[in-house]
Amino acid sequence: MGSFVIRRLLILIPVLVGISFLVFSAMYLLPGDAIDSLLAETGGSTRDIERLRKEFGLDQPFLVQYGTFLSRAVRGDFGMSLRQRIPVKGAIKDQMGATIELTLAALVISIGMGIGLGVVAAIRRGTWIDTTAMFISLIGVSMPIFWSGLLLIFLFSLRLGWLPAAGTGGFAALILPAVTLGFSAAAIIARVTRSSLLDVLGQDYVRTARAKGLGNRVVVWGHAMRNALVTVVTIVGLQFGGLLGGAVVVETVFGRQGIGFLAADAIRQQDFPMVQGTVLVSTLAFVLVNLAVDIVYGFVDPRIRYA
Amino acid sequence: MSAPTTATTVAHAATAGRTRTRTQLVLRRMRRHPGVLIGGGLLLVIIAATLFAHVLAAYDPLDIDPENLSGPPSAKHPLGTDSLGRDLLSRVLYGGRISLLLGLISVAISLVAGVALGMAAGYFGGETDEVIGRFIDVLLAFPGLLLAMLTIFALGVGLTNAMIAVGISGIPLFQRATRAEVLSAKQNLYVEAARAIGAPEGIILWRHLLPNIIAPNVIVATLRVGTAIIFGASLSFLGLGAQAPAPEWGLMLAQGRTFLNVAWWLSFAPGLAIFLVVMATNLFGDGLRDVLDPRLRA
Repeated sequence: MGSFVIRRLLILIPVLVGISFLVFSAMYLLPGDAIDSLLAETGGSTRDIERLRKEFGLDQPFLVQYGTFLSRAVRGDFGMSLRQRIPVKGAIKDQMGATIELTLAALVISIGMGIGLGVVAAIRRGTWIDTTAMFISLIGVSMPIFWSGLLLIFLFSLRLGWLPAAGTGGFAALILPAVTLGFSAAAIIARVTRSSLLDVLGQDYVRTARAKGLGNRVVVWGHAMRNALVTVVTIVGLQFGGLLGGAVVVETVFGRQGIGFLAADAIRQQDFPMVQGTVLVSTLAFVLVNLAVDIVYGFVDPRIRYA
Repeated sequence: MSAPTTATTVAHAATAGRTRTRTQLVLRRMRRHPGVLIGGGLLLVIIAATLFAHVLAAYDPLDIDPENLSGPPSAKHPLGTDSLGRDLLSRVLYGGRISLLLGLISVAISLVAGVALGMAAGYFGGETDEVIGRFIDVLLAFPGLLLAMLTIFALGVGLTNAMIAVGISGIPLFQRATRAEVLSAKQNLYVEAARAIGAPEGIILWRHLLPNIIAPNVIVATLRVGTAIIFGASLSFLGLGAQAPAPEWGLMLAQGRTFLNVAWWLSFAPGLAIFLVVMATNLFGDGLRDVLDPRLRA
C-alpha cells in the first residue's frame, strides 16, 4: 500500500510542473502587457511602466521569470495583486473559506440527491419512477447553473421571500447557492449510480444473496451498493472539479465572496498575479481531491493497486 | 433511405454487404429510439429557427427603442423588450446562431486536436504516448471552467477566443476515446497485413485506423456540444466571452439579471433557450450512443 501511495505521488510531480507552467505561460501570452493597460487607464508615464515592470520582474527572460514564479509559488507566495495592491496570498486566504463552504455543501447535496435518484431508478428499472428520475437528471445536466440560480432567487427570494438572494455568511445564505451548484453535479452522479448499480445487480453474487433469502434492502444496500460505490466514488471525485469551476459562476450569480469570484474578476481586470494564485490554488485543490480518491480507491478495491 | 419493412428487403440488404446493413440497422434503431426522435426533432426545430432568424425575427436584434424599455411580453413583442428596448424574441433567435456556432466550432477544435493526439499516442505508443498522456493529464487537472478561463486570460476576452478556450478544454475527451480505440484497432490482422506489404504509416493511420474511431468520436462529439454551449454561455455570462451588444444568450442573461425583480422575462427567455438546446443535444447524444454502441447502454 505504501509503495502505491508513493508511486501515485511521483506521477503527480510532472503534472504539477505542467500546471504551473501553463498558468505562468498564460500570463506571458497576455496580449498587450498587463502593466501597459493598467497605466493606460490610470494615466501613468513611461517611467512608471519601467518601474512597475521591474517591480513585477517582467524585464527578466522567460525562464528566469518562471523559475522565480515557481520557487515563490511553492511557498504560497504569488506576489502583489496588480489592481488591489494587496498580497494575493492574503486575498485568497480571506476568500477561501466561503468557497470551501459552498463546494462542500454542494458536494453533500449532490451525493445525497445523486445516489438517491440513481438507486431508486435502478431498483425500479423500466417503471415510471425510473423515467422520472432520469428526466430530473437530464434537466440537471442541461440547465446552465447561472439560469437555475436565477430561477431559485426569483422564486425563493423575490417572490416567496424565504431566503436571501445574495451575500455570504450564515446558513440561510448558503442554501440556494449550494442547491444550484449541487443539482448539476447530482444529475451526473445519479446516472452513474444507476448504471453501475444495474451492472452489479446482474452479477452472480447478488443472485446468490437473493437465493439465500435476504431481503431486498439488505441485498441492495449491503451487497450491491458496496461494489457499485467504487465507480460512484471516482465520479464524485471528478465532479469536484465541476463544482470548483461551477463555483465561479454561482459566486457571481449570488454575489458571494470566494475564490471563483476573485478569479473571474482578476481575469476581467488582467490582474495576472491574482489570476495565477486563484487558478493554481483551485487546481491544486482538485488535484489533491483526486489523489485522495485514488488512494481511497486503492483501499476499497485492492485490485486497482496492482493494475 | 426507406425502412426495410419486409423480410425480402432485409434479406436483400443482408446480401448487399455488411456496411449497408449496419447503416440500415442504425437508421432503423434511430427511428425507433424516443430520445433520438425527441432530441433530434427539437434540435431540427431550433436549428431551423436560428437559420431563418432573419425571416422569423420581426426586429433587428440591435435596434434600440427608447419608447419601450424593459417592456413586458405583448402582442408586438412576444417575449418583451430589454432594458434598451430591443426586441427579446429577435435577440433570442439571433442568439441561437452564436450559441450553435460556438458549440460546433469549439467541438470541431476539440475533435481535430483530440483525434490527432489520440491517434499519435495510440499508434506510436512508447515515449510519444507518455508525453501526450502527461500533457492531457495536465489539461484534465484543471477544474471544469477554469482551463477555459485561463485560456481567455491568455488570449483576451471575446467570442472567438471563447470558442478556442472551450475547444481546448474539450481535447482530453477526444484524445482518450481515440487512443483507446486505436490501441485495440491496431491489433487487427489487416493492420499487420498493411504493415507487412510496406504501407506507409500515414496510409495505415488514415485508411485503416481512422474508420475505426469515427463512431466513438461521433458519440463523444454529440454529447460534448451541450457542455460546450453551456461553457461558452458561462464565459459570456462572466463577461469573458461575447461582448455587448451581441445577442448572446449568456450575456443577455447577465444583463437581464439586474432587472430580475422588475422584468424577470429578460433573464428567463435566454436561459430557457440555452436549456432547450442543451437538453435536445443531450437527448440526441444519449440516444445516438445507445444506437451506435449498445455495449455502452446505461
